[in-house]
Amino acid sequence: MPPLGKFFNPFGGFWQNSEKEAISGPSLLEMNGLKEEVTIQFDEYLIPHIFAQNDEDLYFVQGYVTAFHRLWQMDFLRYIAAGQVSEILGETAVNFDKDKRRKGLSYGARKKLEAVEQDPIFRARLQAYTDGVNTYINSISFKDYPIEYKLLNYSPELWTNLKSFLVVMMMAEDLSLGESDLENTNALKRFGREVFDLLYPEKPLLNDFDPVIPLGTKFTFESVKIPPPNKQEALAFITRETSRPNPDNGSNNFAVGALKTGNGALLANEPDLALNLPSIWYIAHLNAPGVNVFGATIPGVPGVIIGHNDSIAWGLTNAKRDLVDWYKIEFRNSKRDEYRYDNQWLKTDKIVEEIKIRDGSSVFDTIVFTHYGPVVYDQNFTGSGDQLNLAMRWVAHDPTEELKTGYYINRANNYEEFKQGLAYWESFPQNFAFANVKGDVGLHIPGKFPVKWKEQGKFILDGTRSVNDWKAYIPEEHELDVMNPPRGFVSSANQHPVDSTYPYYTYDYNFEHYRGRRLNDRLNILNAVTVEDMMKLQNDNFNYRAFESLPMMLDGLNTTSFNNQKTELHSLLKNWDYFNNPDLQSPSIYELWWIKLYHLLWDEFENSDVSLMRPDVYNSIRLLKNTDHEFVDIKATSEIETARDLFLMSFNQAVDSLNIWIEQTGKEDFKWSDFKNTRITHLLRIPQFSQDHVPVGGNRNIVNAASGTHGPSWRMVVQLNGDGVKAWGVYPGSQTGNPGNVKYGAMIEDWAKGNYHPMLFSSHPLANNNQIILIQTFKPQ
Amino acid sequence: MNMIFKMLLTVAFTYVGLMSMPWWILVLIAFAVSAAIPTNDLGAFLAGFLGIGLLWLVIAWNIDIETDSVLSSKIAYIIPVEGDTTFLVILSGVIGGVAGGFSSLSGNLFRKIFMTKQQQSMYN
Repeated sequence: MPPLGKFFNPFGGFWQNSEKEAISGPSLLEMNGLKEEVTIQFDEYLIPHIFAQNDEDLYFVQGYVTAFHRLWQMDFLRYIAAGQVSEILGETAVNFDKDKRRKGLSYGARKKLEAVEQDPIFRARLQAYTDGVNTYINSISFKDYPIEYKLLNYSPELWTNLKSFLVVMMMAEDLSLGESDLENTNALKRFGREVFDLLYPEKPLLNDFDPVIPLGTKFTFESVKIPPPNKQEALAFITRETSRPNPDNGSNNFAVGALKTGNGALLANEPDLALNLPSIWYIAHLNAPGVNVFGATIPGVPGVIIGHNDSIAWGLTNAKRDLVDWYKIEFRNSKRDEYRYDNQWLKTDKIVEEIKIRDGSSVFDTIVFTHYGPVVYDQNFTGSGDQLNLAMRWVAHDPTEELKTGYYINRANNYEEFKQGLAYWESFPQNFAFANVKGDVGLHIPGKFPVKWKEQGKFILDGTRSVNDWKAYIPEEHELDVMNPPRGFVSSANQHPVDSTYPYYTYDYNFEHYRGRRLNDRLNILNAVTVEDMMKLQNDNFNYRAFESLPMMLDGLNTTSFNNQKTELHSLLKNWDYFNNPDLQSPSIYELWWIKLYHLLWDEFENSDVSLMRPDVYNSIRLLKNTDHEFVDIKATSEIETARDLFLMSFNQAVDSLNIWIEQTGKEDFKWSDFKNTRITHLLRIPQFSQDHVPVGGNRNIVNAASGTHGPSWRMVVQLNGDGVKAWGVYPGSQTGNPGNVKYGAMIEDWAKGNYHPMLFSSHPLANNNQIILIQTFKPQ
Repeated sequence: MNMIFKMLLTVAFTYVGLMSMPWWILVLIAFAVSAAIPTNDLGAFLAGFLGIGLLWLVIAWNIDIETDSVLSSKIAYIIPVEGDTTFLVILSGVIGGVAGGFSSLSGNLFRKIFMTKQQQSMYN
């Protein structure tokens, strides 16, 4: 509860955050720190179009307007990344903070800052952004503070260059920290090699294999080789204590070239991330001599991340690979000052992390650093672990310079310049789809990829032996790349990057098996592709997983004992066309049935005494189709179950669950969107600042990847041809982050319907345009 | 009469003060005004309570109407008063009123205890 007088004071408390006007502000502002005059035009969607006369002013004003709309969010994001949330929320957040600090997010941020600041020009640009944010912060008083500060009774802190990198590290955590090395180690020890390979194959069946780089692409270079060790690792069970990124983080991008459009190129992209308010993206148009770029920015980071300029457009999806490895550390003694490395003892570094708690107390956590990285797991972490010391090697801890990528690709005119910018992109590899006004399309996968021997780092590694260390990285010229492929398009959806003719090991635990195939199936048959086709495909609700599993489930289902309700539900499913449209009932039944079946199939994993990962959905379906494996049997019963038994049991369970759900919600028609309940949740989980039951179709494993809590966080379609570049976009939120603004969450409705807004884009400030609702001029003081 | 005068003066100074200063400036203003203008204790309390209570109520009410309850309709579930924004307006008035009333009362008591008879007589 905030202090009453402060909060209710109508001159300064929460009342002051009520905004009936979408945006208002003086038409002229004088401020310190600017070099020349800057014009800002806000359009009807509150997108700022910033026209500056030099780079520093451009980023200064980007920082200023981002803070104007999203100050609390950017400040909170960096509290999260730095592991300082306890300072705001108190003791409940201590373990959350500890997790972030053990993962070394600040450690990585500091190294990246040092690397980029060595370049005085980039240092100045970064500082300009920071100065812009702080100019805004210094210009406001309590009455202008975002409502969240007032509710939680704290104040904004000044921005620093380091904080921009903390936000970058938060993205890295979401996108490249995912791994299953601990679970793999446990599974291999428990089940043995043969069963392990059956449960967790590295590649799908050939028929279902449709990697990012089209099959048949030739690789003619000589790869860098690393000698594998000659000794097997000793395995030990280990309990997972760190949090892992949500597996529903994913994305789609696809670009169609002149071959398939007839004129120019089309590019579509949507990053599927946690659906939050304020939204993770802030749309902006940045214009200065040498740059005219439009697209999605991340509050706290200068430049445009996903977007287009006058010549090119690009979109990102996560290019998964195992970029985190765990090394078992042997300390010389309990002082943990030294650890074994071949025949020597290496020195450790220790950092004492002070987690400050709101009530004024502190919790201290000593983190030991090896040359691999932080010893995340040790006796001091949560105290519940296995007394193993595990050091984390993660590329995002390295002093990498992805911030420069944004700068260069925002200004790139062609694929060569674009790729020069991508050379700096390392910590969280992405599939960068590309298109230009000449109708070319390409896709490049930059990143800092360690060269690995087969299965290196798939399991916990012995940190005492140098042979297990990362020795080399895939050279830039060997990075995966495709330009104008014969099929006329490029696409990616977090699936396998490439087939085994690529001479490097490219393992990940969590490749996607469905969205990419649907995209490619559609793109292969589409011709004379239009902007509308791209939009339709981006909102495609076809459930490939149901298409491949439901016929098997229905065929094997014994319906003799069915009552009326079950017969009815059964016939609904039989007549379903596999589209997860929001108003249908069949997707609800299928999804429930599938979840029950999946958990019955892998009942062995329920309440396991060690951390294990259930096999993925794709492989589960494959195993159900082809074998009556021992896992099909339910261990708790004396009978031996077959797949047919599981289909019936899970169907009955699903109907029971459905009836309970209907009783609880009173929604007899169990429409898919009601059942799924896609919700856009405020970062503080305040229900009144959130929106639930958004009427949108789709689900995980579907191109329209809107599940309960994750989904398309920015849908963009760009058309590029001789007439120029035109973009359409929408996202589930609003530019304003103020829950008291009349436009808060305003785009959610159109987003759910699959509608797009045409985006305003020009090379100079527009005069007398009725789409512009506020024009501001910033002048140097 | 002094009570009305005290109330108007408190409202006027508070209105100006709150434009740029934090909420607790009203405590100092109500205290000071009340210390300067003699009334009985009930009159002092009422001057602060009604003066600042009504000021807060009117300003909050005005914002609520002008913005169609755009934010108060949400806050009225967080606080929680079941979405009743009018209740939030009244609550704002009461909170301001209580703060103002007791500050004014304190000012009155302060004058009675610490100020000399001579000084008091200047006004009486």
